[in-house]
Parts: sequence; structure tokens; C-alpha cells
Amino acid sequence: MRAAILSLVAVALGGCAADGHVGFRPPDCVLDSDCPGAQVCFQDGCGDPGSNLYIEVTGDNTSLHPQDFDVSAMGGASAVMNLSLRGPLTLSGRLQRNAPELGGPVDYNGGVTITANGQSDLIQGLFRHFSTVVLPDTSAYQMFIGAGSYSVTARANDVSVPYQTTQINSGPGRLSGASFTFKSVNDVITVNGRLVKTSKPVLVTQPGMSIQAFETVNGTPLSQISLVSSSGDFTLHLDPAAAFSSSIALVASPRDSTLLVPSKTFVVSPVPVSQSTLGVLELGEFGDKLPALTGTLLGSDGRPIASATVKFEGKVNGDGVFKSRTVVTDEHGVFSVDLLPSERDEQYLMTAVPPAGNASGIMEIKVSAGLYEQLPSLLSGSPLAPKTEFTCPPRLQITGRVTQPNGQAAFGVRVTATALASLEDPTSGPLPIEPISATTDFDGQYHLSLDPARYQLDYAPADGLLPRKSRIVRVSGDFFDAGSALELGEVVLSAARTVSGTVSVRPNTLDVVNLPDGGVDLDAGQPYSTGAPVANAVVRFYRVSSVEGLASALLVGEAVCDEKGYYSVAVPDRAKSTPAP
Amino acid sequence: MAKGSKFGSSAVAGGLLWAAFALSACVLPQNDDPLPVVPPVKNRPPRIVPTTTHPARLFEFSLDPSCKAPTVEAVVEDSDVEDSIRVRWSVYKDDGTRGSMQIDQSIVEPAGVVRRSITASSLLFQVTDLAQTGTARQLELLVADGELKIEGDKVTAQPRIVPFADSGTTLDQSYIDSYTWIVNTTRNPCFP
Repeated sequence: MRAAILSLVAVALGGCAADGHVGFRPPDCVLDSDCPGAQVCFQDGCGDPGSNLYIEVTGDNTSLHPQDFDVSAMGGASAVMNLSLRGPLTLSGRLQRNAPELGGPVDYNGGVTITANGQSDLIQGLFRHFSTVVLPDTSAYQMFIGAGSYSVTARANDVSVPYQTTQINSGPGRLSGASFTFKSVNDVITVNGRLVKTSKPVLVTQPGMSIQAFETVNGTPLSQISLVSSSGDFTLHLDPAAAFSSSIALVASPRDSTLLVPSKTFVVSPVPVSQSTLGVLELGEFGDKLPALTGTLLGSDGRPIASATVKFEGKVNGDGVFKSRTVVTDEHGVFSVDLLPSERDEQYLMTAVPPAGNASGIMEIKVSAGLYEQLPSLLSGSPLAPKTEFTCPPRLQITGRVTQPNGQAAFGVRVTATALASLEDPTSGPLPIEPISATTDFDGQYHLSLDPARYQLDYAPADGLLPRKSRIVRVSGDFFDAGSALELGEVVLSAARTVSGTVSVRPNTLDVVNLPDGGVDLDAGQPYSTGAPVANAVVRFYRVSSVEGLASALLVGEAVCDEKGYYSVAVPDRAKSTPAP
Repeated sequence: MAKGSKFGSSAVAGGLLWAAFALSACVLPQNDDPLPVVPPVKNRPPRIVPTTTHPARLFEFSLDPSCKAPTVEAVVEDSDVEDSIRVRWSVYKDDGTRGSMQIDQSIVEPAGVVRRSITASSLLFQVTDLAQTGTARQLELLVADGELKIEGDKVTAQPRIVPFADSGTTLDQSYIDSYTWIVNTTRNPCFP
């Protein structure tokens, strides 16, 4: 056991013993004192605490969306850093539709939803999403966005108009433009068909369905979601780009996910290049809803698990895939779920996730749903037999200790474990989606119950006077003896230096230069006017580094400005004194 | 006799002097009232700063696998920097009734600062009614600086018991603030 503990600690905190075992390259340090000079031990190894720092500032939720600052470009981290935002970053454009019969594009005013999905250019891994609704009778739009690179999509209210997508960059000093010209009516490939439950021996329709076309290789949507009529008739309007694909996938899904109907994918090849009729698509005889199926979820100690989530997904008769809605166990560990009968040779994958903090972990099991001696039952085993109790495996118990830079126990540190990825082990279960937290006691000790996965552990001191610390650990059952807890070792918080300043915003100047893409350059004119303080702006300091080959943004400090725009953040620094023994 | 008379006069004078001192406490006005006990500072309520809520009040969330769960966040302001903040997320169905599942987030511990940011668990978009397509639903963020008491659909913050120096106690009110988003769940795909 001792050897096992040591090997995991090595993996978790920077040793090299288990490097080859997990394909995970640990950092080259455990403590700041392992690093040379004034460097600090970060999750990716030793590093200069003043380098690779970036700041995200969010002014408000209406127009001053996030803008990012490169600290090195500002001369490095200093005690006072005043952050000056540019006026709201905007994305604007015109909406048109091709109309060759009218001599060219004409304004489109049928109502459009514009969505921008992207991420920060400076702080990798910070995803940003913005959207706006353009009302009918309007053929132009303007929306506020944050800095970054985006895929901007225009979705017309009229489902016969395929999506239009473009890429843009947005940043301070530049107002972005993205105009859209939808395909003409004649360019769109119109495909008709009929979706039914079964066509033989009698035709049975399936109300409440929708259908959409996708490119089969990369999954790019080629049409909007079309509703299937109660008689099963549907019309899809494909982007002309579909004609260049060798095949397309039509995905039929229930409109309301509470409907007990499977989703089914139909591959169409060759792809129609002009108006066509596909004929009848059959969902198949997937059967009728079974009476509510119940079961009891138990922990490894045999006690019921309350507030666990349970869901089922699997193939049903007719080759469709049915996903149940997620249900929650009651105080007796009992769940009740509506399912379709399982396909003869296929089973559902049942996934149960106990709540955070429970000593039992995620369970996955293959089960069938059907009638057993005329009673609705969940069945497992060989031969299949009713199963009413499901036992979750124990979570792995992790303990550790957090100390201050002077060696004293750190009380009240919030330790949060966020799952990053499943283990490489093919038997590894699904990724836990909910972060698990614990707080250190007066001895600096903490305790976590975790499912196997790779985690980022964030240590956030309670008083905000010391900076946050993070580690990446691999939690695997390989290292555990039954019933024992893993001692993760000691984490020493880094010393802090305080960075403070004010956040202000300069209004966009009127002296602008129009760019060819419809954007506007604000930096080509007069000196900026004086900025006004931004109350309640959220200031976050990130350290961007490469963790296991992936760019990773690690939050090292966070503050919210007061009403005068003043902020103060503790960021890592090298301790001046050595830790006490 | 004279001697005795002199002694008697001294005794009487001493007695009078003693009486003057002893009785003065009764007859002379005294300003010896104890200083009034300074009452403890009353709890001040937390507040969700409206300009910091993200995303916009009305937002769309897609179940399509190509889409990421949205980041829902807000800043809570509490002048009592030592207060812990309880956070509860509730989803209301389109008919206005509360959904079957609420999520009580980890307590936001004191951090020595007035404003603390809160981010919703992605679990909200996987296990609550938000994970069902259909019509718009309400997502309510509720913050409190006291223990939450939940009775059916009614959620209140429990007052705190404040001890006095004389071993007595009093109740100090705790407060709740909330903010609501309208969420439209769709299956629209997201483009890379």
C-alpha cells in the first residue's frame, strides 16, 4: 500500500515514478522551493509567476462583454495595473438573400437569430457565446460581443432558408462586421419525404417528430430542423453544398424530448442535387411505452442513495436509439422511469450518478427493459432475470493537507475537484460532470470522494489574501487497497503579491475607419477620451500554459470591482522565507 | 468629664462623617449607570448585482451535442464579508410550477471581499427540466446569507441566533435575493 501511495503522489504532485503507466507527464515540481530562482510551482511545472499572465475583464452583462489583456504586453505584472476597456465591442451586419430574378441580393427581413460561438484569442479555453434576435421587418443587426474568434451563424425563422455561417475576430479597438446573404430559393435543394412509424401491414404515423439533414463525415448541418406533419410529410431545404457530399444523414428526433419515441438516422446516398422525393422513412415498430419501471439504487454499504440521477440510453426495436429523461432517486433510493422495450439483442446502458459527497460513485450497467412474467421489469444477467436493486461502487477516498507559505496549516481553503477527462482505461466510466468540493479543517486537512478520472484540484484560500493554487491528479482504482484512503500529500500555497488598480472604459471614438469586411477600426483617429470607472466589473487573472499538450487557462486570481471601479487581486509570488519544517 | 465630652464629640463627628459618606450614595445624584450594551451590528442583506448576471435575461440553450452548456454566472454583493452565501438554483416549468429538481450549490465561503462570483453547475442543463425541449422555462438563482428553510414551494432564510453578553439571545434576520432567467431549450446545432 505504501508503494502505491507513493506512486500516486508522484503522479499527482510531480514525481516521475508512474509517468509511463498513465501517459501523463507530471510537472517537475511539488513545492515552490523545488523551482529555481523566483519561479513558482504551477500545475504544469515551474514557471515565472509574472509571465503567461492574462487578464479577462467583464464590464457588465449588457454591452461590456469580456475584453482580455496580455500582462506581458503591459510591461509585466506590477503592483498597480489600471485596466482600460474600449467601448462595447459590437458585431453588426446586413441580412440579404440572393434573388437573381431581381438582379441580385435583396434585403432579407423575415426574422433571424444570430449566434456567435467562440473563444478568447489570448486565453485559450475560455469559451464565449452571444446571440441576438433580429425581428422581422429588419434587415440589419447589431449585437455586443466579447473579444475573441467566433463562428457566427444566421438562422432564419423560415426553415426553408439554410443556415449561413462565417468566422470573425473581435477585439478592443475594432468593431466587427458580419453580413449574411442567404441562398436564393432556386439554389436551395428541396427534398420531400414521409416519416412514419411503420408502413406495413398498415401505415402508422408518428406525430411530434422533427427531421434535419447533416453532412455524414463531419456532422455539419445542411438544413434547418423541419417539423414533420401529423401525416408524416416533411420537406427539407438543403444547402447547395450538400450536392458535393457522397451521402447525407437525415436525423429524425422527437420534437419534445419527453416524448417516448426513439431518434433514428437515415443515410441518403447518392445525394439529390435537385428537387427530389425520398419516399417513406420508417422509424420501425419500437413498441409501446412500458408501465413505469422502478428500481432501488444502493451504495456499496447497502444503504439507499438519495438524489442520485439515473438515465438510460440504447437501441430499441426498429434500430432507433432511445434516451430516457434523467430521473432522480427519492430518499429511499427508488427511481421510476418510462422506457420503451429493449431490442432483442441490444440492451440499455443505465448510468447512475450519486450526488457529490456521497461515498458511492458512478455506476454503469447494461440492462434490458421488458415484460417478465407479464410484469414490467429491468432485466440483467444471463439468462435475463429481473433486477430491482443496483449497487454503486465505492468512490475513491482522497485526503490531503494544505499549508500556508510559512508552513502553518491553511484553514478554510476550498478544494474543488473538476474532472478533466476520463482515464485511458477502456473500462473507465463516464466523466463526472459536477465539481466536488471540500474545505480544509484547522489542521489544513481535506477529504474528497472521487470517481476515477483525471482531475484539476483547485485550492482557493478563504480570505482571498493568498492566490489560488491548482494541481492535476489522476485518480485511479489501480492505486488503492480496498477500504483505504489515498494520502495525496501536502500542497503549499504560494505567497502572494497584490495587484490592484481601477477598471475604466473609454467610449468608442467617432473617428473611425471602415474596413473592407464591414468592420470598423477605432484606433486610426483621435486620441482616446478619458475613461469612466466601471463599477462591478469582474477581473480575472489567468495563467495560460500547456498541460499535457493542451493549452490550458488556469484561474489564479479573481476580484469584483467596487462602485469606483477599484479592484485588488492576489496573484502568485515566490515566498521570501522558506517554509517552516 | 470634659475629656469624655471631647471623645463623645469626636465620635459624633466621625459618625456624621461616615454617615455623610455612606448616605451620600442615596441622597446625592450619581452618574453611575452602566454603559448601555452596544447592540451587535444587524445583518445586512446580500444582493445579486444585476449588471453582472450572465448571460442575458432571455437566452437559448441547445441540447445538440455540438453545443456547450452555457456559462450562467452572477456576482453577489454582501457587505458582511464574513457571511457564507447559500446558493440554490431552481427551474420552473412553462406552466409556472417548480420543476422536480433543484440544485443546492456548494456554500460560497467568506473570502474577505464584498463581492463574490457564482457560476452555475453544468448539471443544471443535464438533469433538470431545462434538459427537455419544448417551451421556455425559468431558471431562478436564489442566494441567502442564512440557512435555507424549504417548505414545499416556499423558501425562507432562517434567522441567526445572536448571543448577548448576559447569556441572553436575540434573532437576527437573514435575507434572500433572487434573479430569474428565461431559458429556451432547443436542438439547434452549433457551428464550429
